[in-house]
Amino acid sequence: MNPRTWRHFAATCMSHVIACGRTRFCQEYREVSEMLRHVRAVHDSVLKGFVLFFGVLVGFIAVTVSMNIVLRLIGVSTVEWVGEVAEYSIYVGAFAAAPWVLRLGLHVKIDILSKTLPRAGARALDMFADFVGLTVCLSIAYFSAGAAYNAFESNSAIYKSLVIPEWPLLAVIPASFLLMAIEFVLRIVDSKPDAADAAPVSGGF
Amino acid sequence: EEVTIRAVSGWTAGSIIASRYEDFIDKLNERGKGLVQIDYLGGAPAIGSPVQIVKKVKGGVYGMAYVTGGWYTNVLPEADFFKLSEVDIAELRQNGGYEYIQKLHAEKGLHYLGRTYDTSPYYLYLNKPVDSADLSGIDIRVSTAYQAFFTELGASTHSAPVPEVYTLMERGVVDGFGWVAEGIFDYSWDQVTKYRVEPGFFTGNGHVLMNLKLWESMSEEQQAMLNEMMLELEQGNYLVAENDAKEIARQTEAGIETIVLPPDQAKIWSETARRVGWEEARKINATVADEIRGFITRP
Amino acid sequence: MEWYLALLLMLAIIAVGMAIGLPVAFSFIGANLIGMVVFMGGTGSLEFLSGEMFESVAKFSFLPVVLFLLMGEILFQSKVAFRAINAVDILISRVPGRMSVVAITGGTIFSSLTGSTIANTALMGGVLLPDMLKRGYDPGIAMGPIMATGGIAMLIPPSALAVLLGSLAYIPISSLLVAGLMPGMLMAALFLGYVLIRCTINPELAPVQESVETLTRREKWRPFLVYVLPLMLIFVAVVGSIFGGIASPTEAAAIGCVAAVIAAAAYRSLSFDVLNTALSETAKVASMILLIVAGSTTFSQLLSLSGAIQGMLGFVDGLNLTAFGAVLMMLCVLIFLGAFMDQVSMLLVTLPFFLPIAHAQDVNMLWLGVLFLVVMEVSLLTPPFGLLLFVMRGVAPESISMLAIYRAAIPFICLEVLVLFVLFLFPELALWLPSFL
Ligand code: NA
Ligand code: NA
Repeated sequence: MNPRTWRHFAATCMSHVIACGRTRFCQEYREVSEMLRHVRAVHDSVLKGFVLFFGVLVGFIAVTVSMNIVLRLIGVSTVEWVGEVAEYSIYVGAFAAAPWVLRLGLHVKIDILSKTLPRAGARALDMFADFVGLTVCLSIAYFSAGAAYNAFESNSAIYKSLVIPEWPLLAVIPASFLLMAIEFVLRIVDSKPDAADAAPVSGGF
Repeated sequence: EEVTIRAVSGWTAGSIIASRYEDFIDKLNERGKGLVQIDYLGGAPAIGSPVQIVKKVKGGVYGMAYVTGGWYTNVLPEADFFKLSEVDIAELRQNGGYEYIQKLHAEKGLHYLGRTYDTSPYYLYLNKPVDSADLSGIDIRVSTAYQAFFTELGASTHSAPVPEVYTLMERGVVDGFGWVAEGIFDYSWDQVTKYRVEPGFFTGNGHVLMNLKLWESMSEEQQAMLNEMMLELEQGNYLVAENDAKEIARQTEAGIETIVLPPDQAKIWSETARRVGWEEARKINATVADEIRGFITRP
Repeated sequence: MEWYLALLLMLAIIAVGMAIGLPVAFSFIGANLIGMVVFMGGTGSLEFLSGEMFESVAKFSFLPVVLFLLMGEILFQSKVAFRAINAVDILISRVPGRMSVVAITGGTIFSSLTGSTIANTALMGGVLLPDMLKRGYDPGIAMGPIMATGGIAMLIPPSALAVLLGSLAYIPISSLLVAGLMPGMLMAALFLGYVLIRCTINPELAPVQESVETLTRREKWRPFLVYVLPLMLIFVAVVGSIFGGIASPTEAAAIGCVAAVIAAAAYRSLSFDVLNTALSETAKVASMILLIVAGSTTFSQLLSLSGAIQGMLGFVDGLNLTAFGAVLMMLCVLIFLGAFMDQVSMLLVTLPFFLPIAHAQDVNMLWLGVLFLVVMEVSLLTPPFGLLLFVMRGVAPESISMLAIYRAAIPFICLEVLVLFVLFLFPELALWLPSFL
């Protein structure tokens, strides 16, 4: 076999291998991104549900607080737990809704630096911020899960006009931060612009 | 060797209530050189929520704390019973109550050093007069500590944050609120309050707690030193009553009239407080409630 | 650790976090993780962060914040506010810069119904801006009043931000709400005066159109009577119930929500969709605010625990400032921060320092609260980071550059600073109304 034929053969083989590899890679990539899309879809609908849940809690607060005013004005004794339940509601609701707010990119941030950097630099900076965010979320999730577990172990409760075990309340934070950690992971592996850039419909503050 | 204890207060650093504890710390640091030193980190809410403090003491983050019973029911639910005390700490140390309380705390990883403020009741402050223990038709801003008591007397209750109390009283949204003798002037409530009702009900209570492991790790000499200092602090408890009397005189001067309920009504008032208080206590832990009642009340 | 090192460490962490574009809430929480390990008691203390976050958010004081958000959102999503603006549009005629005047009056009316500056700007921008540009209005005179009036919403009650400030700074909420009314009206008047003068001097800024003139007086007033006046009942219900001693601020906010739903229903604009959107949007904004609150509360607690605050107080004490000097310093710091930060964050970063200073100097907290509100309003417009500038970017056509938006805001920033100055010299402007409470 002369060197020339040999070189030709080698080149053909190489290109074949590369092409083959590329299709396989493409396929795998497609599978992975398909899977990611699926994860996102599930993740998203769960998170949206939590937002509406908080919204309904706020509506419930408005109704029960108003109800107490009416009760007081007509001289009937008011419902004692309204204030307490409202307090728990805004806490649980705020952390339940937080992951979707993060997904939309609505948690206020100061992106002056990333806006002035060139595209590649901005991308790297965003990636870095996402990693920091992921670290923060995982740390909070880990240590707060410990707190919730300890509260569960020691049976601690909050004694107000309602007696409520402490652990479900404390479990809200690790759950919320775990969901937000997932969001940061999704951002890192599957870079996507903030959905918020598309359409802000909110009245804001 | 010298031990350094990281200490916090549940009351605002520099406030009247915290100041006795802060003096106690100063004296400790002076006399305890080479033995015990206190690193005082400050008071709630600046350093964190008061209801989270004892958890941190239990977890060993802080070594010592000064708190009221209602703030650590999330660690020791029975701590709320202290508001029903009718005897002072000196008597508790005699009648075995101190050991009983110590045992309750030890089970939760806490050491009960001692107690102050056991002679300082809550009062009902009003902007319209009452002449009996029947409070129906009266709206009262309450905290959890005494909501059940006022509900039992027929009042309708209102939960609201402390900073809102001024406006609520001024606008007449509520007719009254419960509070101890001290603090009325701090929130300018003297401007919107016309009456204070005698008798008082329940009692304010302040406790010095320590992390149990830290306590057990200390030498006998160090423990003795802390005990001795605590006894000194407790002996000053009568000063609290004196101070309350001064504070009430100042209120009278500022135009807050004292309504003294007639004896029969006062009896209903006090007995309702006692009955409702212990009923609530028994809901939390009937066994401990019955046992501790023998120590902290008079038959 | 020396107090200034502790301070530097904590501030450096959030500064880096914010600079790399980490959301503000996460910057705070990240700083808290490190601060707890350093100042509270090693990694063992991290377990207690969730408890502190729970205590900082589960507060009765935040209920009116959330409820005022909901109230504005219902009026916004149900388009009731939209029709009110149109009615004002029809009513006002033959003044120089007519549509800019409409933006200011309409915006001020909507301010009394919503606590939200963003909703206000978005609404006005969406309703009026395209029309103004089509009619050949100068972009500056078109966008400026819309953005500026948007900010008035947080000054005139109801205001979610005022409630937040009041509950964090222990200023009586009702007083603070009422105190913002006069400065807010003064600001609206100044904006109005500015637009009238500019458009009289240079009519080309705002070309006059003829079409509206054909309407009869009846046709002009009817929409106003139908779509605007009844809405004032909502304002009366909210502010009146506080004044009348019927309700606490929390309850007044709940009354406002119910009134908003009734209004939307009366105009046949209430649907399941509207309610759904209003509730969800409220949830998003409330969650955003409360997460920052959760992060920053613990942050300031750690500053206190580390001794940084006491050290700084001692330092400021050594400067021998007068109360006026101290307040001036705070305002300057806030104006500077306001160029880079949002309102909630700047408030929460600075309050741990400012409150003790103010108390030490015996400053009137109500007056200080209103000054803070006005500064926050200024910061809504100051480049590069001004929320209302971004909202305007969102509703303005592509052809308008960010620079043009900045330029449009500048005269109004000056007017707002003027109000700030007047308020600084004449505290009565803010304190007079609450004295009737
Ligand atoms: Na408003
Ligand atoms: Na700004």
